[in-house]
Amino acid sequence: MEWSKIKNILIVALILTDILLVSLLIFSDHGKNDTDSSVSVEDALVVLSKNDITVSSKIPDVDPEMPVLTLTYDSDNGSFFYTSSEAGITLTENTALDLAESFISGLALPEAEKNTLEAVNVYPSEDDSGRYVVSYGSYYEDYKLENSYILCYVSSEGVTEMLKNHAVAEISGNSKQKIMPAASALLKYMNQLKSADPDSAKEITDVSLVYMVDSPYDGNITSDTAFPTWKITASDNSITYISAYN
Amino acid sequence: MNRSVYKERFKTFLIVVLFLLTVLLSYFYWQGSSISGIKESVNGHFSSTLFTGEDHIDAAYFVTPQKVDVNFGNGIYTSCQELAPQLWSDFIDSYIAFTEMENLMIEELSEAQWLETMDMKSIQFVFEYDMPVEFFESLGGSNFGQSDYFNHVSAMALSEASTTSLFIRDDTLGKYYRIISDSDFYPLEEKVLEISSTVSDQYYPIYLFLGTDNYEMAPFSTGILLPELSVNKLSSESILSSEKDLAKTFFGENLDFVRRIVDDSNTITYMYGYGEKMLTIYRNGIFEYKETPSSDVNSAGFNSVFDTAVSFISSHGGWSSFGTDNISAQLRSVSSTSVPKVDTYNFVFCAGSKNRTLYGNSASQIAIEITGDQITYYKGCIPAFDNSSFIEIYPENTSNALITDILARDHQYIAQTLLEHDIITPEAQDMDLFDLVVSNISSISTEYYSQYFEAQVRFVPAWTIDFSGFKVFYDLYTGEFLGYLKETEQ
Repeated sequence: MEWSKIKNILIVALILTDILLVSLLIFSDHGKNDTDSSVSVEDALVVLSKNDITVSSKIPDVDPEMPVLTLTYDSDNGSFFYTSSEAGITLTENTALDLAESFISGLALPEAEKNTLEAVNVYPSEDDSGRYVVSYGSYYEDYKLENSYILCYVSSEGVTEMLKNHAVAEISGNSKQKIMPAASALLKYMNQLKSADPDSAKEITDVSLVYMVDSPYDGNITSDTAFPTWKITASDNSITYISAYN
Repeated sequence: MNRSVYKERFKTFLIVVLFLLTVLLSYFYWQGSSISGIKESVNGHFSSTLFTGEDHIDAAYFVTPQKVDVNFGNGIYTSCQELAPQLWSDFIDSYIAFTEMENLMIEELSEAQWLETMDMKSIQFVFEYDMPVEFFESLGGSNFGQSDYFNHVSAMALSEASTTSLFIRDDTLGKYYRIISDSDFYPLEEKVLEISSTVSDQYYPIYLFLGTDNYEMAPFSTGILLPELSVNKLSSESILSSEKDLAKTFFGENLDFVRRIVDDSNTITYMYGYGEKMLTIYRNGIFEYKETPSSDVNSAGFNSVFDTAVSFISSHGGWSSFGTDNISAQLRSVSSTSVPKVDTYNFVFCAGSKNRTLYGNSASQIAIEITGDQITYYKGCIPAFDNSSFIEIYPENTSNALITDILARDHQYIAQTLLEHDIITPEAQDMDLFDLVVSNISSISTEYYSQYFEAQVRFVPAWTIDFSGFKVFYDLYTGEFLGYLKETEQ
């Protein structure tokens, strides 16, 4: 056979080999990313119900890829006490909320930051003072920042105490990472629950994606990193966090 | 040349390129890499040149004796510090030849026999730490398999008592040995003569001058000329500007998914996972890296562990932290603990100049712990000095303060300090305080002691009196008290 033909055969063989190797490398990349995406919500619900776990809330659809956030805590976070001239108001959840809203709008926070605050809960204070607590959460887009909050203690005289642990969030770096679907997070939750107590039963009342700091840190933090995390709330008010990154 | 020739040449070139590409892709596939992994490794390779630009350093480079005690015979001694690395380097060739000899025999000596041997014309290479014998086995020939007899080498010596023998001191076991060969292997007479012509400092065993039962060598008449070293400090902002480059050497090029915490003291912590890997960088540039030992950590021999430690420090900026060519790193401590299945080794390296350690400056210390074959702790420093500002300042008055004068003047203060730090017991105070202090001296040497000023650090030449790891420092020239340190506070 001529050398020229041998060369042609060699070139074709090498090109095919290289294509095969590149495909294998790309395939192994996809294999890593798709580990959990094969679990459908329906399949997950069937498995959960067989294990005495019912889900009464909507299971959210989320962005397939999300970044991490840098939280920069306000330098004036802490506890603050106030005296107020407001009087004669009959304190209800609604009036407490109104008084707190008025107080928050007067806080020395940039307007953009105030817009990220949202009252998430109003409940009677546990200290028997007759006050209501209005709890404000911070949001980044549609996602709550679990480690950023303002608690307003409201009496009939207005806001008498504020516990502030507020942070400003911004995207950390340029990268996004694939998010574990809610169905997979629920199955992880089930595994955790059953490994602690095989006979336990739960009713899940809320499944939401939040941003939170992973674990405690000794010291006064001025800046931290928050990761997308699944927050699973049960009817007994127990809350479980599952990291949303695979 | 016609067109078909060009075509054939192009085909040949294409075959070569495709073949090389196939080899490269096969390598990545064999390594279990993915496309993203390849991208990371390529990016990682070219990143952080500040911290990874150092060539591979042979671990043996860091092992040098702290001093070389020389007995010229007839009761005349000296101790070489600055010359020690050179003398050790010269000795290594003879040592290798020795370890390649056939029929080496080992014999244990009593302490009295050791002292008697060293009391003759001799050269003693003294290490500040007890180095595992596996290290010396790896340096030498295959016949030096002595780890069955002793575990560590604290000093190696040669004596005219037996010029065919190598003398070994193992302070961990508190034992002495001699390894006997068939023939001479080191030109002892020639070396002693050479040293006597270059070194004029006179040292004597402490008992000769100060009358207590202490055989350590001490300088009683010297003409040591050491310059003071001065270097400007970098600002905290300047030091911390390279924190991300440092973090990338531990966590990879992309730090976006690594938790970064800043606290109110401006301490920056990088945390991977739930703290399995943690890097803490303090505002003065000192950093600590901690890794949780994995459950499948493998046991590794000392030499492999030592190489791993040196390579790890090289790839994480360790040696560059000293910031100047005039200051180099020296191994200053080796210790190990055995836990079930694996050994944990701890190494401490210190910055030094002229074979003297820079004490009192935490930025000049590198500590590393290896559990099995895994790095579990590493402490170093981001370069904190302005390299270009380094200067040596020689004194106008070059005469040394006498150590005897210092001890006579300050023995009460030293005794009180030793008592406060539990180096001596209260009962010991019943002794004459001078005798008490002198009998507890484990070595006297010249080192550097750090003094901090607003914009600079000065390393002052200092008499360093060591009491089993508790070091007291006096100015080499004026004899003024400078400070003291416990070994762990270096």
